Amino acid sequence: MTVQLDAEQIDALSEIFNIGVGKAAAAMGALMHDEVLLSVPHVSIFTVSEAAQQLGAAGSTMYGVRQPFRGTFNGDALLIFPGHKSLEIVRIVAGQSVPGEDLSAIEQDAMTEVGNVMLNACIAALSDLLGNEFQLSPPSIDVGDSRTILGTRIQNHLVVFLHIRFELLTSQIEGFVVFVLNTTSLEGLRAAVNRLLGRPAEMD
Amino acid sequence: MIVDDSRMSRLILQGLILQAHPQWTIVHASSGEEALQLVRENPVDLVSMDFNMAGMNGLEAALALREILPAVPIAILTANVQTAVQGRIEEAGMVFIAKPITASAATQLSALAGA
Repeated sequence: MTVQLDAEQIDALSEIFNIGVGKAAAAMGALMHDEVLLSVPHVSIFTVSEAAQQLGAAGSTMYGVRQPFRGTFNGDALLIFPGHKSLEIVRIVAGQSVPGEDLSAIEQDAMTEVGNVMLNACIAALSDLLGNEFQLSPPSIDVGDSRTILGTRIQNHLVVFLHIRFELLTSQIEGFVVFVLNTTSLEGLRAAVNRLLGRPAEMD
Repeated sequence: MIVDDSRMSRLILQGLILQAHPQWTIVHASSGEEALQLVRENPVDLVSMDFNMAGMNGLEAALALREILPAVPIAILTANVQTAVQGRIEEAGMVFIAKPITASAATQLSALAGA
């Protein structure tokens, strides 16, 4: 629980995610036929409990697309949308291309695909800049409040909380991207960032 | 043949391909293992393969398909846009196409069949 990142490491991570999410926004814009507006990525180290509070009030339903990744460090990338926007997202993604389909029947599939495209673009930026390939499992989806979305982790475990608010220009849908890493993986991430910054290994 | 564990992705790609080539017949498979079964019963001229799937991944399935259908072009259509992954796909002689599935991706895919 002692892993911390200094200002330079936080700045490097923010820039890596900035590049990743920029690519993700382009992919998401193409998928959703809309312009995607992004906030500046903000990287924090929170406990699971604190991260849940950041995501919203307890009890409000959310959709979370989970993309597990394994490599020099492991974790879950999450794309989180408010639950009440889900059918609108499905209509935008699939409505014109799959006429005649019951959209509610492919709701989770469509949400997963949006997450798949966006999260993979972020992970690719992380992979390319840090020089580590990540093995990816198929994404999955969770529906529930913020604690459910973050997973059944010990509430005082640390997570890297990458807070990016994105908004689709015409449809006014917004959501968050969050990376959840445990303490061991945080050490791996810090070592990889140090290599990127050219710091000597003993400072890891 | 479209191989993807996302039904929605299969439907979107099918819709885009059929808009341009309404005479084509599309065969769906939801996994690499199912694709290997289906090609024994259905002649295919072109394969679009997802990468991140449970069981065999797309590249493993594509390599196995190529043993059965050496002359059929195979594209890996994936959101996994890591440079290392793209490199492995291209080194194996497959065509890499990045998701999302757009009209441009469908056109790129169709071109592999000479259409």
